[in-house]
Amino acid sequence: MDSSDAQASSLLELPLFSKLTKRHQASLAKFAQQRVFPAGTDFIRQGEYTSDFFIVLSGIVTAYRTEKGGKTEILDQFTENEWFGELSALSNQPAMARYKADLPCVLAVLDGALFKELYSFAPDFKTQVDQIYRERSLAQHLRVVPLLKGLDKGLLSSLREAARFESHPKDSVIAAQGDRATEIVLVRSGGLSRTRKNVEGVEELVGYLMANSSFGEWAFLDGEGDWKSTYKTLMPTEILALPIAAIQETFSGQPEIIDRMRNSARLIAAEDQGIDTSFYDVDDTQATDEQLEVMVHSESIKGGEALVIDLEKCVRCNACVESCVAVHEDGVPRLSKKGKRVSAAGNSLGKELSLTTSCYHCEAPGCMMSCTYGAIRRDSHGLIRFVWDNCVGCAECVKGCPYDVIRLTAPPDPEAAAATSWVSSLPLIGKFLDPPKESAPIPEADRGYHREQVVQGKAVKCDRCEGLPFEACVYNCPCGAIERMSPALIFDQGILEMAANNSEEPQ
Amino acid sequence: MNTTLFRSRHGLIAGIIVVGLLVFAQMSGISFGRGPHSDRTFILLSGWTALAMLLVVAAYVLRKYAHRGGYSPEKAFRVDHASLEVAENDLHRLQQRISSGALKTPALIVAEAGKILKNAGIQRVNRVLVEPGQAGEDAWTVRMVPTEPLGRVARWMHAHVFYGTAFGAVLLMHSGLIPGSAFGWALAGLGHIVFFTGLIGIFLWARGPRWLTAREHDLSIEEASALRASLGRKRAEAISVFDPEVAARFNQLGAGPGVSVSQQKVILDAIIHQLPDRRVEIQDLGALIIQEVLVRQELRALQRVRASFMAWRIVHIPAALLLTGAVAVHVVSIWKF
Repeated sequence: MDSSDAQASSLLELPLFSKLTKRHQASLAKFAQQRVFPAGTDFIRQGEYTSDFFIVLSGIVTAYRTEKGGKTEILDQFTENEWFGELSALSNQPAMARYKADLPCVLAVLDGALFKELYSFAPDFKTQVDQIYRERSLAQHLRVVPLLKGLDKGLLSSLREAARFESHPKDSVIAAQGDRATEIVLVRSGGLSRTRKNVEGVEELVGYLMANSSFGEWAFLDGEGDWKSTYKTLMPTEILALPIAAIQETFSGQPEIIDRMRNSARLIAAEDQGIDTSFYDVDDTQATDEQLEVMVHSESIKGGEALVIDLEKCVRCNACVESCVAVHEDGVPRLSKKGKRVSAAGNSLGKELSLTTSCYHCEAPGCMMSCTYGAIRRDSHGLIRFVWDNCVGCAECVKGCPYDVIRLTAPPDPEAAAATSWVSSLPLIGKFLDPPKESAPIPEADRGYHREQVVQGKAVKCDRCEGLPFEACVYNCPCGAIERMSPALIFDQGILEMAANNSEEPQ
Repeated sequence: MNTTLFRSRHGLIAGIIVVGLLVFAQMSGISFGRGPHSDRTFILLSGWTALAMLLVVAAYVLRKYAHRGGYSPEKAFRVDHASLEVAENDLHRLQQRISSGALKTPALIVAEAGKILKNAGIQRVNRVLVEPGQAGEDAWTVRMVPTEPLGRVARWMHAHVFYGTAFGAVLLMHSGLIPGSAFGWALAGLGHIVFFTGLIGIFLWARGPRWLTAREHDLSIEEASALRASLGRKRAEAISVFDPEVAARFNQLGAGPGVSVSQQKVILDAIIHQLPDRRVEIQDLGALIIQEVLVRQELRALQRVRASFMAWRIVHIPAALLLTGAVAVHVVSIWKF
């Protein structure tokens, strides 16, 4: 038995993995990694995007959280056979804390795709993860709910038995407008749309709720009123429901806390009402509607910078697409000029704009969730990146992307992929002046866990010309018509706030 | 109207050069071109100035097409993902130092960030922007942006527009209203064709996008093009299940622009009459074909609008190429003889 076999069997002996099927055991043995961290290593930073799940095999790991004021507190400590990272792995949200190895540590690391596979299809694994989450992390996570913000962790712990976990497939109605509202709902992972019937009875989109968002706080104020909107899942979604009655009962002996919560609920309700007023009553409803729809649909609220074409400058010469082709060895453009149009009335720049179909680096990336090969990952800064060596061309990400930004190409020619110098691209003489180099093989451990699959193609999307000193489309537009812009520049700040309603800031 | 085409420091520089030459000629009592009051120094000065401007104008074209052909020298600067990650991680730590108050001035932050980029070996690819933080953020935020070493093509376009326009004026000073030789007439003629088509181009590029955008009521030109291709594929697929003889009639239907929608309906009715048991299928296919025809008509209309503000290039580009060749011959011949 070599050392990797020994590591695998020691991992399988952990209670967490004791009831896995043979197939899952094989995946775990092959793709779970053991990593050693010297004492003092910060291996996850607060705010960093990570989807890995960690199990401590030896040593001690401490989680520190720094609040905005600069105050740092210890959230938790993890010792042998304890685990962390399930929240980020499930929600694709940034880490809530900094994780530091206090002593030399050995950790088992499962990548996000493997974790989700086990969480979805290994019931015992899910039960154990949820149970420990309820015991250790739930109280911390509940602080995300605006109503419960600022409450002591000890107080919140008393709510954990009342909390109910639910998994919903795509297109499930979590709460329907007009039904009795009896709980506050926290979205753990996935996403929901929020729609409301207007005065004419037409269903209108009001907003989205992504992971770590919550809704239903106002019911605390109304004493269990009716749902004002319908909440429907946009993708497989995990939620956590907290009955209002349980909250009231838990804090019944503490009137000052109840008062504080009522005040919070009143504020939330007022903000909610503010949206209604502006959404239905103002004269420029059309413009507001358009802005909101574009912002919400493209998720550009949190999507970093959008790639925007000013249609009053663009002469349709196609230089942007041709430049995009020129910098990618496979000759496939990542840019499609098709996109959502925003009329001059619908944006604060007062120009006809087109939000091009480029990757939005979504809050809840459909592509990443549909990829079972570990070929799509969010980097530490939140950008969605493709790990080409893991991509088998199954096209699930193409189907999973709601914005059609992903294209499938033929498997790359290794010679072309290895050629990076412009000299090598010179016709006829290029290959003699700069012969193609062999690319280094990817270590097995760094690959996804379904490598037996035949590679049918490669998925590609806008990579913002990573590694080059320019973004080709922007750099080469002769009219200066295409530009990266922050949504705040395009739309009024007020609209952004409205559209981002209920979306809690990343932790 | 895209007025950004006219806002550039190159306009000021080109204007100063032209006015300077005019003032010089006026004060020295020099007449333009060859004549009794012509001056050799002024002819040489205006000639070299025009040549320099032509080279700047040509540099834009070279730069633009070199990149489109994949020959940008900046591509050699490419760095790998790992180096970028190293720099990003170090910049994250730098941000933490800013947060803790260890670094307070932008100059200090830029210096530290510069070292980070250099250590990671990406200083030619990325530079650092230090911006005041928003409310609730750190006092300064640091982020990486591309260096764009040669500047954006849009800026080169400004140079092309203004030095190209100035070239026309300087050429007139150099050659005078009546050039002294046949070759001079050819050079001046080509120069003025390029100059005037260029002026038309500037106007059309500034106005044209608005015309097209206003015309794109329901479909953008890109969407119309994609939709037409998609409908064409669907039509071909649907027709393939019919006998070759019927398929040929269907293909005639969707083929040419000469068949109007009403004529198409007549032909479709005839096919239905021939195959009454496949009525629904044929009607669906007919609807698809009519839709394709309508999209094709819309696409043609949009392409016509686009062509209306791109057509000037049909004269401008060949004339500019001829002019460049003729100028080369002119310069070499003056130099040699």
